[in-house]
Amino acid sequence: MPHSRDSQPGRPFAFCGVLLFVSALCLPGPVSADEPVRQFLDALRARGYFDTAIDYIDQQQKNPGLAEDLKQSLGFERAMTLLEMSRRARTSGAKAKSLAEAQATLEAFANTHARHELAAEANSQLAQILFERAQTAVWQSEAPPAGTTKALLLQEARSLVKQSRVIYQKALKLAKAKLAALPPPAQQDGDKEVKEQYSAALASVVSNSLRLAQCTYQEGQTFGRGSSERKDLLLKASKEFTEIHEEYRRWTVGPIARLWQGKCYEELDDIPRALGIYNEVLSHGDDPLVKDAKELALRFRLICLNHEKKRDHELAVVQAGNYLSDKSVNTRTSDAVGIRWEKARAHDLHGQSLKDENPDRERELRLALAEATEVSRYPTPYKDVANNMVQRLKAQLGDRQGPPKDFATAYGLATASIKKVPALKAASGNAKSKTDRQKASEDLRLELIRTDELLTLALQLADSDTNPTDRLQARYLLSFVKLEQRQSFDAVVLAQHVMKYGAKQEPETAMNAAEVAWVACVQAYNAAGSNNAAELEMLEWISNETVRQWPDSNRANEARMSLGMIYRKASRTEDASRLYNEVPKSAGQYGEAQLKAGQTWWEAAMNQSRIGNLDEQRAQKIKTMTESAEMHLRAGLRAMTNPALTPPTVTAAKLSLAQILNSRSAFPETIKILTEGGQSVINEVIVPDGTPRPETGIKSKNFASLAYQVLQRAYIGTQDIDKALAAMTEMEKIGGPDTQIYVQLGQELEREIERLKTQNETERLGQLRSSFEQFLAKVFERKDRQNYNSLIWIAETYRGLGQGMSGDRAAAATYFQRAGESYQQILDKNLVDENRKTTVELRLVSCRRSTGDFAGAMEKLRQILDQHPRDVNAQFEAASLLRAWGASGQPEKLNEAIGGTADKKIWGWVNLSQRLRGPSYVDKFFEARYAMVQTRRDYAKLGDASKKEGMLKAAVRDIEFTVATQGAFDDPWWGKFDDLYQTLQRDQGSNAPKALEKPEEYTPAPVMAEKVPAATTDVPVAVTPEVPEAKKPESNSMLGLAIALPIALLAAGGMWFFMGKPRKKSPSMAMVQQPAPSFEGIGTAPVKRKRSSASGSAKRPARTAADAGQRKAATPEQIAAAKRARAAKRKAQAAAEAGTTSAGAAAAKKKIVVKKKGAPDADPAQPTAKKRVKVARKAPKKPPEAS
Amino acid sequence: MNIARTCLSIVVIAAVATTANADDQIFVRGTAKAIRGTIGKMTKDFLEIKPRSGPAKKIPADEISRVRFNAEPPELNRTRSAEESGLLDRALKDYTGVLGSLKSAAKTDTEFLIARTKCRMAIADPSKVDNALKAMQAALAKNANGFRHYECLVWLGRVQMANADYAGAKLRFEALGKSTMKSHQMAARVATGQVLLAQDNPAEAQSNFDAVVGMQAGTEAETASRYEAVLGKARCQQLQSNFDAAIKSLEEIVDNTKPEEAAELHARAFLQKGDCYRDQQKTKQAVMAYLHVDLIYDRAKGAHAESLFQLSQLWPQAGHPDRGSEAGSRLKKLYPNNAWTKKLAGG
Repeated sequence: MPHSRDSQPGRPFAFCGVLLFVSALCLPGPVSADEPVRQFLDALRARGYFDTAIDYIDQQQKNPGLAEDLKQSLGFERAMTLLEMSRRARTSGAKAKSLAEAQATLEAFANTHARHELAAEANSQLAQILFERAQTAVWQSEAPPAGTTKALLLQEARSLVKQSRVIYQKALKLAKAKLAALPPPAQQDGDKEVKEQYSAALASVVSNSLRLAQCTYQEGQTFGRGSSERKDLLLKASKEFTEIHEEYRRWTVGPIARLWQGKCYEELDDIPRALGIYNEVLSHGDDPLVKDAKELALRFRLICLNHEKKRDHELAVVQAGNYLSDKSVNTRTSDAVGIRWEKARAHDLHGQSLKDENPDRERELRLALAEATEVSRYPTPYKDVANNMVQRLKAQLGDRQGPPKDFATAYGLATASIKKVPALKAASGNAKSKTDRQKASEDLRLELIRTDELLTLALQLADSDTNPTDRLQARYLLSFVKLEQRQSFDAVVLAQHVMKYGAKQEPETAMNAAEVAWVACVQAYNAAGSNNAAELEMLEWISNETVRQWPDSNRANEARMSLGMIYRKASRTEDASRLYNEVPKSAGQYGEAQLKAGQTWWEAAMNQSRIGNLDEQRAQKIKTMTESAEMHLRAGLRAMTNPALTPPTVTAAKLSLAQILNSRSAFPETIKILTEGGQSVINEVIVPDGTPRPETGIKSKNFASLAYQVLQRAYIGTQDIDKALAAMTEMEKIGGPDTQIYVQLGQELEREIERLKTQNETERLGQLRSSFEQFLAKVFERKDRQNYNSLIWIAETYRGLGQGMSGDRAAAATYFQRAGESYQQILDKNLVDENRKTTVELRLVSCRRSTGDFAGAMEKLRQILDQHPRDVNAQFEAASLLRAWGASGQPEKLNEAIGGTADKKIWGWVNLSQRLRGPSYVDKFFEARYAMVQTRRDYAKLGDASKKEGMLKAAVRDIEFTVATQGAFDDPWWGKFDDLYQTLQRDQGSNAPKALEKPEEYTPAPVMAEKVPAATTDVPVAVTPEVPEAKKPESNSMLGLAIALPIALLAAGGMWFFMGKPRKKSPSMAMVQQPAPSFEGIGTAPVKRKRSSASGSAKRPARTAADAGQRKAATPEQIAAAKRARAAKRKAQAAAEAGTTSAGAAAAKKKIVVKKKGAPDADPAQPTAKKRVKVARKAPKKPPEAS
Repeated sequence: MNIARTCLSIVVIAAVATTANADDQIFVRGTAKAIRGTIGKMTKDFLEIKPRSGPAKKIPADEISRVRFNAEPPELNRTRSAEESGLLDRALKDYTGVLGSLKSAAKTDTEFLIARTKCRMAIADPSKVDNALKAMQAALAKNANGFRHYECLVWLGRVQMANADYAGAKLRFEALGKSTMKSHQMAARVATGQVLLAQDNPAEAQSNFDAVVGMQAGTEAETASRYEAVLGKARCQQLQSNFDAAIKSLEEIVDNTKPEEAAELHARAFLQKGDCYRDQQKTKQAVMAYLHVDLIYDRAKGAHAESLFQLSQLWPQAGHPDRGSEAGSRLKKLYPNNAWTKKLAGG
């Protein structure tokens, strides 16, 4: 076993990189008003657009306006681009070429700009290139390419290591000198700048020390095993690693050094000691920075288990299997492939150790073959050795009779093989222990591979004399086997072919193929994340083809329902509605289809309200959509009136209908729908006292809370104050201490006012204001209710009224003042705990801003910032306040809003948006960028006229840059930016402004060694395909699959009051229309949230009450559906755990399917459900039968 | 006694079998049933067959899909199936194996079949071009007045074109165009268009394709030529970035022809469809199209090699570098001498 492949000392460099990166993050970054060259280059490199990046660098080098310092750094940027390019090169030639160019460029840069701030980094990168080249040479020495020898390659590697060492030694010396020149931490007196410099210097010392130890280790690799040079160097490296570990034990680098210390022992054949160290590293906690080290430790541990002194191959298999079966693991990284390689070796070594007559021998060797084949698919250092193993094992395992020579034999063997699949799947599913499960799934995998090979061979052997039916059946079976192996595209292609060409001659097989095609396509869709347009097209094709081929079948209706769901998710409302309407009245799915059509229109109405400005045309469109929603919901409810059965879907539909009725002030009917009858919505959401509410479904906190909110609104509308208060009490009971609900009620109110104003419903607007004022007054009078919750509710409701009445400054100011008084009262009475205090204070500041009391607001805000200088919400409010202040006639404040204040205490939009990069702050980032552009526009209008043109240009460029770096982002934000983009062009004098151009969907070029970023949590819901049963079309329909589409659109829950509406801004109005700071803190939500995080801004996209306390909300239908799915799943699990077999288990399973089928929407509790399609399917249980 | 009876039975059975296969058989394109009789006159344009009863029939050369001679061994027919199914190595081996036992017309035709198999192989493997051309030229000489004459020209032209000998190919296709049969004239025009395309002259190529697309196709052979023209036209549309129209044309081909009868055409249609998607950066759609060639039409060797190359490039972009690597490995393994393999190696 070539040990050099196991040791990739480059790995810790990544950690050092992390250290440096972390240090770099701590450094204050100047905000350049120039074009953000580095950011743009980073973005280009991240997308793999290396050629473009190089072109851009060339272009910038000729740019006379570029700052000299930046221009000098372009050489470094070029080298980084080439370096990244080399890492993604597909061929060794291209890799070597880019690497050599990168090296030359770095050398040139380091020589020319020795004093540049990036010179040290350039040297560091240069050393790493040399080191990587040394590693490559050592690997190549195991199988030297033509024209060279092992000795020459090792000699070259040694020379490269030495060159690398010289650079690191120099860097270490410099870093130590710098560190020595700085006061130690105890004497830094809180000087942040010194502290940061000290941290950076220390990080440099640590990383360079580690790199030097790595050099010693790597130099050892350039001598033959057993040689004295190698032994001496390994001992030396071990000592160096030990020193680092002891000195920096508590740092991330500690475990890394320790790990390599173990590696040295391992290579010195001290296996017990090495294993001890690896176990120690593996026992570290879940610190993400140590995660990679643990992965490496596991690989090293497996090497030890496979070592000739240990020979614990079975344990190696189990541990590697456990790791590889972990769904959170990216099995393509170099280390993960290395772990698989050790598994292959373990099977091989174990198999070879068994006698010929032992049946396990062949099994082990076949598993080794399968694993080695898998390893050989990836361009890692293990590829060559894995290929060698594959060839050797194939020769060893070769059937003496050779492979089948004709179609009939191969097909016969394949059909025999495929019949084993259900039993193997069952064995896997029923396995009691993890080890048994792993063994069973490996057996299944082997059988699938074998069947795949046989079917492929059969099809290759088929000639024109082969029975076409058999050939078609073979293709169908192969599609199924591909599906089982998760080769989704292959499965789709084969199944589509059978669907298309078998429909006449073999309709049963064709229908079954349709099922496989669908499941495979959904599998692909799930895996595709947001880049799923192609899969969507395929799904459309399959559904349409199913409807075309078998229009009157049940499957066609299911296809309509499924495709309708897909269209619904894609916001293709009319298409979805058309399909739902194609489900005939005679079909069992009719009622459900109508309800879905209704929910689809309702969602569409919500979505419409979120995009851009709500003008009359859009208001009319929303009205029409709402009418359609109501019509379909009523039709669906009529069709589903079975007194014996009230499915949650019906309850959810009733609630949606109630929302619609509220939106047109039909309050009495709302009350009737929600409260009348034994199976009214309110009755359905009740849980017995003391029973905890489930997370999802119609009895969940979110759904129940939404129901009471709708009811409360209706009671306020009918001026039934006592009942409204009772509903509010129920809401409080349901919501507990989480007061986010009150915030949302305020937002609801604001949006309702907006809508009424847009539709010129003056009379109803008056009624609304009057009813709320009366209600608030009554609540205010009831001293017994003056707790934190009620005061927040009052404050937020007044605030909502204020926001809604922003066109009437006097009225708005009154409402804001009352809101401010309530917030003040909360603070004065100490009703708020420390955690929420800042948020309430910020709300107070927001109210002061909205009443024009800018100085008062700023005074309070400065106090908050003194306490919490890095509070994002406070910084948001600060920038908003400066903008509003500036818009009131002090344009210099607008500049501060953009770039921050001179004392740097207020960051301003530019700095804020820079700090908000990353997946956790997506919404905040867009908010900051959007506000920045708006503020520039304000300045262009109010500020120095000579700067108007430049400011507008900068604003346009800001939007273009946002698009360039963020790609095609979500529609609500896209719509806003697009509107603003066109407005800016009009400001610039354009009569025909162009729309914002959506860039192509970015598909990152995958890099084997890269990890999936932590934010990539849109993991597909696992499809658990089952063996389709051939020749049994009547069994389970393909379209017994249901897609649970997670509707990320928060408005889906749909209440008018959640309709976000960005208003047209004018400087005079900015005072009351600035985005407010997030109010999440009033509830329990943390500041840092993912895409769906709410800012609490008046202009934030709509959120439903169902969103309260969780990231995603859903329609009542979604919530109900998710509950049903979960309940069914629990039941199935319980049945499985209880060992229930056959009928019981099948019933439970079937129930899941049936339920999910009718439950197309996502579990709203899924935090990252936005792009996911959840699939359940009803599939035949038996293997396909070959004809 | 028993032995004698057994021997007699064998003789009887053999006699019956011989009688059953005593006729020559001509299979006409688009029909599964053979015309049985005795082959008589043979020209470049037709083959005459005299059924046991009734008058002799002249079967146009371009309508003939397969000929079985009365004295040929049964395995020869299986070998023809293997060749038509793309099992070329096996076909070549088996044709060569039976050649020594054949005489006269059957031998001449089998020599043509060997040459054709070699041409099919040469299209995916340039190292076999010389051998293929040599064999086909010999077949052409022997079929100077035979019904395979024009087919020889077609294959010679195709191989020359695959070998970038455009001038040579053009001459062959011009000769083909001189045939009196409409399908041959159409095929010649399409092939000339393909040569022009290969020579980067899409405008002139398209006029050739358009002309054929505009022709009325009556027979199977004419229809096949027309679809070839549609394919060529789609390529021109693709080159003009008129992708939607190109894809529509390609789908027309796939929808209106049967995969088992037009596997090569389907393979090239899917290949071009993949090209259209690839040019539009619709990576996954392109992968799906190329996968059709890999999974369904892998016997169209030239197209298959190209599809593997494209998959090796596109799978990584679709998030599956392992599959890209696997496609590349298969390309190298299955088509070591193919131009696409060389392109892959060249990075």
